[in-house]
Amino acid sequence: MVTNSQTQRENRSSRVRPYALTHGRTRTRYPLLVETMISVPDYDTEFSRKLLPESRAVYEHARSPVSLAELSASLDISLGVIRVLVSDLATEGAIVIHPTGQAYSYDHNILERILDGLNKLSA
Amino acid sequence: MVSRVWDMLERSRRSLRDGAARQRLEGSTRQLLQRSRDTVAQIIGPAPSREPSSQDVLAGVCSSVALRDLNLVDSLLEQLEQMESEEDDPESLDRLYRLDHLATRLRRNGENLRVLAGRDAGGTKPETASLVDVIRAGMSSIEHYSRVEIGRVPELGVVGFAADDVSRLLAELLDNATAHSPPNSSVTVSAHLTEQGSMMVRVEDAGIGLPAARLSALNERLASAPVLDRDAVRHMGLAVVRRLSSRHGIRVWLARRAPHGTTASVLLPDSLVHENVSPRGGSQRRSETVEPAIPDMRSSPGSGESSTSVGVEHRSSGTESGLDAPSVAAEPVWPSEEQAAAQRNHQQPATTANGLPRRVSRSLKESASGGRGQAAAASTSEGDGTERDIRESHQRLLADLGDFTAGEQEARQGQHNDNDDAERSQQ
Repeated sequence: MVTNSQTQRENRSSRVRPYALTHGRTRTRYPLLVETMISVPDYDTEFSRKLLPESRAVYEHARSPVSLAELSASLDISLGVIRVLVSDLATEGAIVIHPTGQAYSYDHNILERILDGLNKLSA
Repeated sequence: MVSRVWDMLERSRRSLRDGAARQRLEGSTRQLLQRSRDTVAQIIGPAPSREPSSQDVLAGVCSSVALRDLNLVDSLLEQLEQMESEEDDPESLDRLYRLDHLATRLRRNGENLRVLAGRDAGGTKPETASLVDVIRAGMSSIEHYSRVEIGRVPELGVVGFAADDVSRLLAELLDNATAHSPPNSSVTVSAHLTEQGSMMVRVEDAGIGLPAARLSALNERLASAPVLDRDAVRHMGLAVVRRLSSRHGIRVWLARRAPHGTTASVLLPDSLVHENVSPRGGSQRRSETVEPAIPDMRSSPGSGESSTSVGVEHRSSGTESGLDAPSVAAEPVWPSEEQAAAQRNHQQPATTANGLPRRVSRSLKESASGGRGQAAAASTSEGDGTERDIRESHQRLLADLGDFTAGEQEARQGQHNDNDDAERSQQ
């Protein structure tokens, strides 16, 4: 390799860009929060082998229940990318997304029932 | 004409020698000299010794300007990366991705300029990059990256000094393929290992394809020496491919694809192909080797579920720094000395590579077929394990196990402290 003293280039950015990992997608089909837990119901070695490295790492890590925040930290992949990969795996049925407290916050019925219950308690 | 010029030169020289005339004639002599020089230049045309040097200067200027641009773009990309990792809103992230994409394409232009100027594009890293990452790096820098599909790609790597050049070469081919195929069709990249240990990468598009004459003309250009000519202006990508392929002994050719479209084939010589040790792509290999540890540790008394996960995490993060990741990760849990010895023998070629991380094709295939058993069998038949070797490896294993338990204890202690901290903060 020819290296010129004046052609030194500091290369601090990665060459594989995050958008290339998700085909440019940023939105997910499911509400995925940092604390959302996921797990693999039936581990399949064949399926794992066919995945791209990042998806495979997510799949392997999720063999025991793990949160998105943990995944992002231990795999050193940004949360925005992890979300899309997890969403894809969930769409394929390879992983299950565990319901979180926040996931119900959109359910007005439950909120009203809780409010009713609280009102009765205080009365 | 030439003789006239010489006459003029001679006359001016003579007038220079003449002391009295010197003062008077100085101005006009200079003019004459200049004019004669110009005439000579016109007559004999561009002097062969001068022309390349001016071209060199231009190339030098271009490449140094490109270098400055590249450093700016690199820090731009770095900052974008930071922003992307902190962005929570899909909408904003999408906008950041667009900026990132533009900056990455800008980087490709700058690097291509340097390649065409005959310079090193810069930024090469010593580590081997996984082939998947090399392909995706190329894909990152083209306009229609989202149409690129990655097919079957073996889990091997491209040696560090060539990895970026290979991805730049693939970027040009991918760009061509996506630009010359319908906007809703996908372009597929796949790769396989040949019997000679070289790597064949294919870029297939579903365009209308090229007429036979054009195809052969392009292939001729791809196979010829990488000189900058008039055609290089129109086919910048092709010129970049030629430069890069000749630099690393890569063969590139185009062919018609079966139903319709074009296949670009890239043959990477075995000297560029290496066992995959990239931290990013190595995740599966790592988890495979970590796997047997989990039941082992669960069965060991007093180690709870949570502490096992700590242990696994600890080791997997440790492997990222090590070059021979799988062996480091697996070492503490190899049950017998025989396997430990096999492990060491298997590891040997990787460590004794003299500077260049090259592999022989035979061992490449072993790793391609996932033959740890093969490696173990080979080493036991070849070594027949001298007693000293076995004892040594046994001691090493014990030492490693000792270290491991110490690490585990430390981790648990740490966890304990963490719990305490958590409790305290709750109070």
